[in-house]
Amino acid sequence: MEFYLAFLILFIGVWGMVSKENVIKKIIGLNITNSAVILFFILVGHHYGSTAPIMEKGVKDVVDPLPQALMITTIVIGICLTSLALALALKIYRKYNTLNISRIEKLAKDE
Amino acid sequence: MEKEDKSEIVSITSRKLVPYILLFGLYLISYGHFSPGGGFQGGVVLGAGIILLCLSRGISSTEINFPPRKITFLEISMITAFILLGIAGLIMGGSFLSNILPGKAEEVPTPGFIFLLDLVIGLKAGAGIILIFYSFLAK
Amino acid sequence: MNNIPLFLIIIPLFAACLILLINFFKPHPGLTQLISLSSIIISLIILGFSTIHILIEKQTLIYNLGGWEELVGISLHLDGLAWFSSSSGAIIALFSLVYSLKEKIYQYKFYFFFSILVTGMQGVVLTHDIFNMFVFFEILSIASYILIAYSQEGKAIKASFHYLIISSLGASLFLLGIGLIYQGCGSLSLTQIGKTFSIERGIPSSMFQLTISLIVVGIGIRAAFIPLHLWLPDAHGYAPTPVSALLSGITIKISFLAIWRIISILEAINSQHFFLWIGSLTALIPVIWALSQTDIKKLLAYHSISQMGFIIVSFGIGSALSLTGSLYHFLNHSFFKSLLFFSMGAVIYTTGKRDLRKLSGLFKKMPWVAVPSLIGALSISGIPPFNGFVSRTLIATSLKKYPLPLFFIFLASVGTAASFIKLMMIFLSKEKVKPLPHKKIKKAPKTMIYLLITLSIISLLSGIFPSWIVKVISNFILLKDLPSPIKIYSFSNIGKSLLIFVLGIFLYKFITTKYGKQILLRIRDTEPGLNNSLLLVILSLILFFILTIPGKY
Repeated sequence: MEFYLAFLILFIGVWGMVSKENVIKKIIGLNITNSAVILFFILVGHHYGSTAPIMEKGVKDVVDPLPQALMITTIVIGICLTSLALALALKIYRKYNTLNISRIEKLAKDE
Repeated sequence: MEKEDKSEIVSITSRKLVPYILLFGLYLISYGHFSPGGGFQGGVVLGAGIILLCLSRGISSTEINFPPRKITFLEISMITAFILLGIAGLIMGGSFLSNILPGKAEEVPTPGFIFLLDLVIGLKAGAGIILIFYSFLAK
Repeated sequence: MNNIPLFLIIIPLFAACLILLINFFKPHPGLTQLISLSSIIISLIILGFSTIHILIEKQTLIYNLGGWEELVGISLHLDGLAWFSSSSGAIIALFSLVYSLKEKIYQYKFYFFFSILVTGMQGVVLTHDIFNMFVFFEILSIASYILIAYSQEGKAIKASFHYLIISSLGASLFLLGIGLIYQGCGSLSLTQIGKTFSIERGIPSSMFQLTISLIVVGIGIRAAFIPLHLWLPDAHGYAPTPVSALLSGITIKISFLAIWRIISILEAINSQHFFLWIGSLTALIPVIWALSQTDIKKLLAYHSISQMGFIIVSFGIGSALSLTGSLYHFLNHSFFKSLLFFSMGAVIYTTGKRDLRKLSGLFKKMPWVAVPSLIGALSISGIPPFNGFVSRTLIATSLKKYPLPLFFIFLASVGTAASFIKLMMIFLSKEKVKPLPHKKIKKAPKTMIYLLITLSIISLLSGIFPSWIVKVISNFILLKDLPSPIKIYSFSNIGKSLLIFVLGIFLYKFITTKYGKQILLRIRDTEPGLNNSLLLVILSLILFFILTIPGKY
């Protein structure tokens, strides 16, 4: 069930990237896509009733800690990408005074 | 942000809150090898505390306490320190990033090498987050 | 000795940190250049040391990070294929750095990101852990986004943004594929994945195919396959010249080698066979757009995609001969494409113009730039005795059983010849447009000219003595014996390449007529934008999944 949810979120993100004309909305779509993949990865290492992988006495049934460790890396990469994309969007706005991607492409072609 | 725009509630709440946020960030860094947390997470919390300070007090007065140049230096020196630590592990312990200090990772009082790595990563990540924020607000 | 794979990654990374540290207090341009140059030279020396182990003793140097064993930790493998791509990457990076020394517009940040780019490249090549590969891909990409937008011109920033959005979508798809692999076999080490992630070991065949499609499309965006290539012309065309040379020469091929490695480990024969069709279309279609370009660097960028098609198509066949041809073309293309980019960069540097309609009669003014770029053009068009001829002959020989892809490759070669005749007219034609005033033309620096001459000598030598390189690639890198010695300089092969050249001249004559010019103008105006290329990613994912289901092909 949750796997379908992850894929649903993935499609929402991709839809946002494809259909929105605004550059900032495209970046938000990218973030949603990224989050969906992170959710999927966390679900891979998880099953019901398991607890956090802190190995103290009496703790038996823990989730797989590896996907969580990997996803921290993915989140870091996501932050870098988002800030870089926003910086580029800022530069584009200062250059062309618009955030609409089709207008930007038209203006860049005529330059 | 001008001085007149500031709300009294926001500025007092954040002023009281920031030290605790920074303390929590340091906690996450120093207990990262033992409990949920770690270098990057703690560093981001540290950065978030200073961003909160920026939002409430305005960027110019924050930059007096946390000057961008010093934070840049912190970030650069930390990334260099990380690689140097790795190479030290290579020389002393036989492989890259292996433990060079006495002590085991499971014990809190002598957390060994992994605490150093967490600290370096935490300071680096916090400095990076603050710098991203500064450069977006720069005019 | 086992530390070599580690050092190949650490040295450029450490150089990048040092560059930041020494430039923090006071800018030191000379020292910065020295550090970045010496880091790559040290990497090359280290690779030289490892040659005996890898090529002659046929060992794989394995380094386990942190001392963990391979199944648990991350391991770096330096085998023949990794040695090959790592050393060719280091050589092209060295040439690009030498070129950048004299252009004097680059600050220390350029060298910092350049070193990070080299780090990412070496990491992708060496790592044997699939998630680690993803991380190194992101390091490589983030550095290249920034370097593409380095000039801060509108077109460059737009190209960089386009590349960022589309390749981040690709990264998400790749990550989803990694997730499916982890769910299927519980390991991320490529060795372990190869043992356990297969249909025979209980993975459902649709799941297996979905994983392959996600990974191929995700990385394929960076390797610029046919529907996924739309970001490349702008990005490689408007990047600074040394970066264009490195990106076109090495980076896209390294992405392809990652697919190569994963597919051969997973033994996905269906998907590998499908590359025959992707490759032949990738060779053909960009040539149509390349013919219509007027920007000299963008024309070269379209040809990078087309030449990737030659590499991909011969991977799709999968025989020893074709794989040798593929790697040989990899090597040759990185040399002659960087030669062409450097010489066009020198033209832009000296004249300040990048529109080929405004450039003419440059042969007399800069013969030392013109002769190397003519050699580059002859190589890429496959004229004997230059290196492009040899590798394309190998590819064409191995394609004999597949007439339709062979025909596509043939058409692509004709188009390549025609568009390079069009490009070389900036040197060969008479000055028909208003002649450039002599004062405006700067002199190309001597370093650039020496670099161009070195690269053209390499192109010539690797064309004249092919059998030695073919032997090294097939016996020592791929570890496969060729069935029989192939005669490259035979009468029919030379005749074929001359036929291609003559047809290319006819095509060039056609596109310079009034009717041809109108067609080209139409084609030039149909460059799809970001939204369309995102849609094409989704579409190609679905198509790849449907078309490579086992048993259907």
